[in-house]
Amino acid sequence: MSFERKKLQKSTSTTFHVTGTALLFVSAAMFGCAIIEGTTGGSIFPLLLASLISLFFGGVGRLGTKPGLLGQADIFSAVGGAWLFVSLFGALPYLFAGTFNYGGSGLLIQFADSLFESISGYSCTGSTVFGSHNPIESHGSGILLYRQLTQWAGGMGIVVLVVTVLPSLRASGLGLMSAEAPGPQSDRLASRVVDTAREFWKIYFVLTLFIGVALFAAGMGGYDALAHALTTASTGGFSTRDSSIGFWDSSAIEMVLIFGMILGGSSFALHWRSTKEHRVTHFRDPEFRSYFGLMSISTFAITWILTSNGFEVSEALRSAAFNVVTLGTSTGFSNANGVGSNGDFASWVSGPQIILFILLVFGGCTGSTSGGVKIFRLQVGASHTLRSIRRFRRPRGVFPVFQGTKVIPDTLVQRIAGFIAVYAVLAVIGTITLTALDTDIVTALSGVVSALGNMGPALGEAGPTSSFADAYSAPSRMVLAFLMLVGRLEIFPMLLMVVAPYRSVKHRSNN
Amino acid sequence: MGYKKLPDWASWTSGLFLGISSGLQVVSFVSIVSGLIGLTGTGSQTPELLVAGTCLGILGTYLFSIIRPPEQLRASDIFAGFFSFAISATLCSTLIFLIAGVTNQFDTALYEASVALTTTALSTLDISRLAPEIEFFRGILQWIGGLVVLILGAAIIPVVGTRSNPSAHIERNEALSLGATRRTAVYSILVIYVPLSIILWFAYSLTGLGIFDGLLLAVSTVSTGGFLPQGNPLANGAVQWIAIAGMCISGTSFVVLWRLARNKVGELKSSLELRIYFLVLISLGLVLFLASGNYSLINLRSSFMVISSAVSTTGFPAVIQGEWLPVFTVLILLITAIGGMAGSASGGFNIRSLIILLRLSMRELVRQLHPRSVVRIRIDDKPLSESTVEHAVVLQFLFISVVVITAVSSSIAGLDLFSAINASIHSTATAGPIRSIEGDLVDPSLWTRPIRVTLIPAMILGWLTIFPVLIAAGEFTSFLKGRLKSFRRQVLKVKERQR
Repeated sequence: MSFERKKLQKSTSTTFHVTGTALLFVSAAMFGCAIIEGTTGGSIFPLLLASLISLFFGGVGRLGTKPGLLGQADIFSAVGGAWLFVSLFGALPYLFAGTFNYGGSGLLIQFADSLFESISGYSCTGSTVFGSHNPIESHGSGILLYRQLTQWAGGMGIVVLVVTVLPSLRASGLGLMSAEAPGPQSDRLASRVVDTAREFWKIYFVLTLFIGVALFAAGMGGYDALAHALTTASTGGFSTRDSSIGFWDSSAIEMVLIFGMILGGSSFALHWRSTKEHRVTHFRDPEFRSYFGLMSISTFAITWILTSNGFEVSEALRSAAFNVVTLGTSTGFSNANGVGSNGDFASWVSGPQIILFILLVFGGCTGSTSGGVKIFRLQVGASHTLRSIRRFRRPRGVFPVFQGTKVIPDTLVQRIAGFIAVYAVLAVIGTITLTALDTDIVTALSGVVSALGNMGPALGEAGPTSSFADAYSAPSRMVLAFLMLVGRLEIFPMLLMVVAPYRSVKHRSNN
Repeated sequence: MGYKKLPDWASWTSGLFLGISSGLQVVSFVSIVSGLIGLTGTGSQTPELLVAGTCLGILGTYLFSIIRPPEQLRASDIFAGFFSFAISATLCSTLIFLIAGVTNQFDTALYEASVALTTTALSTLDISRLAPEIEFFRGILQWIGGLVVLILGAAIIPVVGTRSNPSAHIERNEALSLGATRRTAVYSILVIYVPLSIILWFAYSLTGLGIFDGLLLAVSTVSTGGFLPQGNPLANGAVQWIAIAGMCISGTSFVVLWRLARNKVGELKSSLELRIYFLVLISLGLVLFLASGNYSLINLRSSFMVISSAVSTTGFPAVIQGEWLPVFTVLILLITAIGGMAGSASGGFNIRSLIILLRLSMRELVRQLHPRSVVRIRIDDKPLSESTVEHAVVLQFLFISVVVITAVSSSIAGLDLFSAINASIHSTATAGPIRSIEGDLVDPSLWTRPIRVTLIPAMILGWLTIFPVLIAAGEFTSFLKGRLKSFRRQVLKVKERQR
């Protein structure tokens, strides 16, 4: 056997090993939720069957292969493949439970809706096809907890989870983590990749626990507190209620969630550093300062506009702060308790809507669970622009690109410029496709930006009180689902995941 | 005292004041000529135009006489000059509109002056009530606005800032194909711009339009301005075909037109930008024609009229005869934002920058797989310097920033979400008219005055391709900083003496 062939087989083997291990985690989550469904009087069959199928395929993937070192193309293949298969298998519980079998919807639509919900869950988007036609509350506790868990797993990253149990991946583990991590560069908390992944998961777990306890103390029931803690730390935004957080109409709960979402949307490396140094180090970071400043300015601007449009100051501040944070961190909760209520930003005047739309694009910090373009990239973009203007004035001057006091290398600047360009191209293509599929332009554009940034609600007909099943046709929802996956993996892995298999096929045909 | 003995800010301020005096003189000249044109008719506004024009002219000439021009102009001086020209020309035109009684509101006059100079077809004036001399004044302002875009885009921006960078010689030579120096490049532009206007004037006149209306339509077409004379000249099919051809030419790079004029057709065959430009025009025209479901010749012409008007950012009001699909609105918005070729009179982001960005995206995809690879971005088999790529990236960033800020401010002023985005893109791309989702043309006079005011900065920024304004602002900031520093030093000295 030639060296080339051995190398190819090894990389393909690692891809399946990573995917198989990820499916085992999915199977375990389904099994746990099946037990909960059983204890609350529901049918355990759908979750159990989905768990067994995932277990079988995951087992085959893990046991039938051996992990090894990966090339750059294989890393994208492994990460993209793992996410694709996890999303596909993740849709099985909904399909078996007939979650989206309402009003005579056909099997194809049911599958499309299940896949949409699964991808929206794992990618931490939070867009949902539940709605008044199919209320969330009408489904069992097990399946709903599974739905929340998909976001929790997707928040920190399925591949990061896999890396924690696969020390044999060695240096490839870092590549896998970087390919999945949000932001242009990933932080390393320990000398070993496995330890870094475990540290991240520890912080994530503690943050979730902390939010859960705080929500319980603020007046939420135990089950709901746990369910919402899972989707707050992951900045996912799924809720166990149709009217999301608006169901409780409680300032205390909203305050806890605002705090939790801000923490979820900021870098986990900063949380780690704070725990190590036993003091808050977040405000030393220029990205966090901009992120926090942007949220504060947006909140006050929206409060001012809403107040001048007839809202009471306290109500305006509450609605503005909650919606700015939920969209700015890409969570996607809603505090609206009905169409046209104070928290329904789709019914506000257009000024605040545009500010929220900008926040949809910006997203949170790098190294967090949030989506969007990320504040770091925008800071680098702004600094790059400033440098360009300086160069026009002083053509022979040497002007580095700064982020705070840190000099950003030109290769990273170019990478960021390329990312923003691809992001813009995808947004344009997505919007054209959706409008061609009979969606109005505001709903299409905001839906595409929301999907790419893993935000959740959009504007127009896809506002916080609407269902994506009503706002978009089934083909449009599939386009959005694809964009969610692309957005979660920060574009490149999904676009490049076919390169390694293509090379493999080409190699075999050449031989 | 020579330039070298002067501090930096002296050459900058002389650039600034040269711009102001040029603005005063240009508007004065246009105003006087318009006043004289009025004498051929009733001349109802002639006295106002002549008096105001003469006063502005005297002021401009006096200012010019007291400015000591530096021996050598830096890039920032040139940009400061263009920016101050834009501001002074806009304010002077505002004054003329107020004095001539076109409107009695300062903000409306300012908006109309901006709309005319920036070649944005978003006027709120009822043209049936305008005197011919005012129509002429607006038309010539557009023509000058188009010329400014050309001089900036084809002769100034590609040349400045690259001299110290040896890898940027190719683009520099590309720009300088219009002439060996900046001055001859400007001359080459005039050699094309003026005859092109005359040819279009002649062509329009042949269709039966009057000489005056033909002239107004010609200057509007060649500058990608989009103002129409009284009546409805575009109802005539022949006029529409000429307008389509004129808009296509105006959206083409003047480097291309210069090569055509010099019979260097061979070099154009390999031009990717030119191919894409015509591909967009033809393919989208056909898409509109075929998808609208009306297969008549009139609809074919209307479809091409809509597309060429959008691509060249002219903004002649045109509607298709068939069904308008929502996706058309998105396509029109997209091609308006992109605009025509680099180095043309059209506004927008331009096709060349778009090609660079797409190539940059592809390069980043390759770099994801081969992080240490060295890939040069090429257009027409010529490698581009990193400074050119950087320029395109920054332009994208700035263009989006201007659109976003304008959209926020106009939505706060009262525009709905879609109209705010739509209006901000059109203003930044200096294009008009705005269409609703259903494809109907939106009348800007229905907007409130604050909304219209929020669009003015975007129009001026888009007209000057954003950079000059920012560079002038940067220079002004550093000038202020320098002054502040020297003031502080003086204060400290005084304090030390007191001690």
